[in-house]
Amino acid sequence: MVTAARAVAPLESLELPRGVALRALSLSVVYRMPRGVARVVDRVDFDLVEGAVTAIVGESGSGKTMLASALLKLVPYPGRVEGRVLYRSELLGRVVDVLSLPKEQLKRIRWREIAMVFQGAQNSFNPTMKIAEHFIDTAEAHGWRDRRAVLERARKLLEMVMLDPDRVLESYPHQLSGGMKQRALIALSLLLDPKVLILDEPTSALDTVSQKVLVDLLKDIHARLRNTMVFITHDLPLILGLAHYAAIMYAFKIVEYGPIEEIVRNPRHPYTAGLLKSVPPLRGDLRRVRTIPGTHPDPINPPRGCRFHPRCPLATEVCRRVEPKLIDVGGRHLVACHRWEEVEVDKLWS
Amino acid sequence: MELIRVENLRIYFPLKKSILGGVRGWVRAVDGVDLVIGSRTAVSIVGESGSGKTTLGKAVAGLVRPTSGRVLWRGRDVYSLPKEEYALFRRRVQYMPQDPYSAFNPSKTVFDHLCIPLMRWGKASNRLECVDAVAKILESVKVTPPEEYMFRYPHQLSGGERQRILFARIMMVEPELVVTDEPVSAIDVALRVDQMNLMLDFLERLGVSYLFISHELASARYMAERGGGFIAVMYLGRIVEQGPPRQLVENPLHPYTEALVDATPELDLERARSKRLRLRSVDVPKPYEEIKGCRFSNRCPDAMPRCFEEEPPLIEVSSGRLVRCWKFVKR
Repeated sequence: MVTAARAVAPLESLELPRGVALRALSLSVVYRMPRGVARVVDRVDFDLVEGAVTAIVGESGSGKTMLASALLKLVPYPGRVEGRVLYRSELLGRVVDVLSLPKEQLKRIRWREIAMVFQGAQNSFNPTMKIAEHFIDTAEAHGWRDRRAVLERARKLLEMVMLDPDRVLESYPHQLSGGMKQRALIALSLLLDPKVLILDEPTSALDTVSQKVLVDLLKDIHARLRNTMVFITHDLPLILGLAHYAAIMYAFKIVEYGPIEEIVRNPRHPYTAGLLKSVPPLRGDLRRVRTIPGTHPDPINPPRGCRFHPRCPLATEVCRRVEPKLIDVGGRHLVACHRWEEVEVDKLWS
Repeated sequence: MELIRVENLRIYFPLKKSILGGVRGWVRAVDGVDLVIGSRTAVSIVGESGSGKTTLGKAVAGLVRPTSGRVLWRGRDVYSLPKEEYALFRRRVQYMPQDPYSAFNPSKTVFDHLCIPLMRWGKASNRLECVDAVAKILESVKVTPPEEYMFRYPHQLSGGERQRILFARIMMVEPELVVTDEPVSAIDVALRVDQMNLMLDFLERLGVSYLFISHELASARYMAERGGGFIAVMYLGRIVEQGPPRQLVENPLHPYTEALVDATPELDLERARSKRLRLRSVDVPKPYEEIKGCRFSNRCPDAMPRCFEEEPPLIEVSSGRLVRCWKFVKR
């Protein structure tokens, strides 16, 4: 995006520290609509830790899918991506800004180095092609033409996702269950050994048992490959055992980020605390459940000041006027709240 | 008071070879289910896809004719009611589909969807009279402010809003039981409790009962416990465990219920990291597969030789606590 590039520093001066797989700088996704301008991702700064699993958690409409899509410049038309996404490409041998790469180079990086599995993608298999052909097709698109080697790798990957290669490779998509398709798709996404794997709600539309199977599987895959994973979800409890870091999104921004232990045990943003309290518990007392009153804002004309202030029990005058910045409160724990020191989960909305 | 009684219900669907060909086998979607739903209660049915929970729900709502067995509404067989009484039954017992989008006409507004039934049931004689009533209805299901939503089309609503409006529409005919098929699984975790509280509010105020169908145990427990009912766990057409909500989730007896409990995400970091499923096979057998013995035997981590030979009966282990597993049958 030429226009966006002017807003930030020139490329040469940008560097990517070791241990960071991807760095988003002032990343925005903008839609111009008759009603006004919608910034569905609004100036997000974000580091993706290399070799870790990061969850992006937020309600529907909070911008979490858009944020992930923007990392690969895959935002649906007519959305515009602004800002920078820095990435150290092995293929190109340098740190690049994904958003300003020439089309050809961007194509080479997608799937090969950074793969994204979209929500409901299990339905995006071509119904007239066997699973084996999907693997061969994908490999060929990236210049890998040795069919035997491709199938050999496909078998290994399918075994890794607990599928029977003999059966699955020769199956058409409709012959597999939803959970099996989702697992086959994850195997396909790993075909070219990407360094970064982005999964958008991979477990939605799956049963509880299939969900758990998939999450455990991703955990095993990560333990073996040590790749960088991004897991987008609205379901905070679901990713507890899998994710190392979580970024909580509210109203098109990241409002809290930190190690998963911190997010769950010591949330500093009232919205995160509210998310934790609103989960219907399987065990224990139902009376401690509280939901957050009000609704998530619209991207056109979001609330001034802190975007959460109309729903926040701690909101004061400053929250209504000044938008809080994301600050480090220690130990890689970032929060955007004026009153982060006063957040006590048990007392909010009680 | 007893509202619905399901007796030894079986619903089989034929598997056809081709358009002309004969029957190749049967999908036994519901295979011998007994269930009682009282008034002013919420009963939850839990199971995976293919467990038969939706078919059971449809049969209770009068939408699928049983292969054998009966569905009794206030003591009378639903499927042999005279015409007028059947019409009354269909009004009193409502079915709320899983996908609320498909229940709307995409070319009509929220106002139309609510005004038409109002006029049909004589609560308004023209569209102008509807306005206030529709606003009230929208407020009652917390779709506010009403004037902002009234003239929206279904595609301009969120999943949760569609569900609420559909629910409002169902409530207009003053049902005594609503069969809700996966009403919260498609909406955000953070919004599920609100949606369930809305339904429970109608239970408390108007005495509406629910048959709450879900694959998700935490919601099923919330609904059944707050609604004073029980949970029934279904597996391949049969109830394998039934009991009071909290007891059932905190102390599951059947290995399948245990698997569901283990698979349900909780806000407990240690548990989340250590908890693994104890299942021998992760995928559900095909619905038409003939399984000898217990239907869960090929996935069960505790299966004994007997489990592959003979199907266990559903036995009552304590008051209101039923389980279908050989582990609990005393010789």
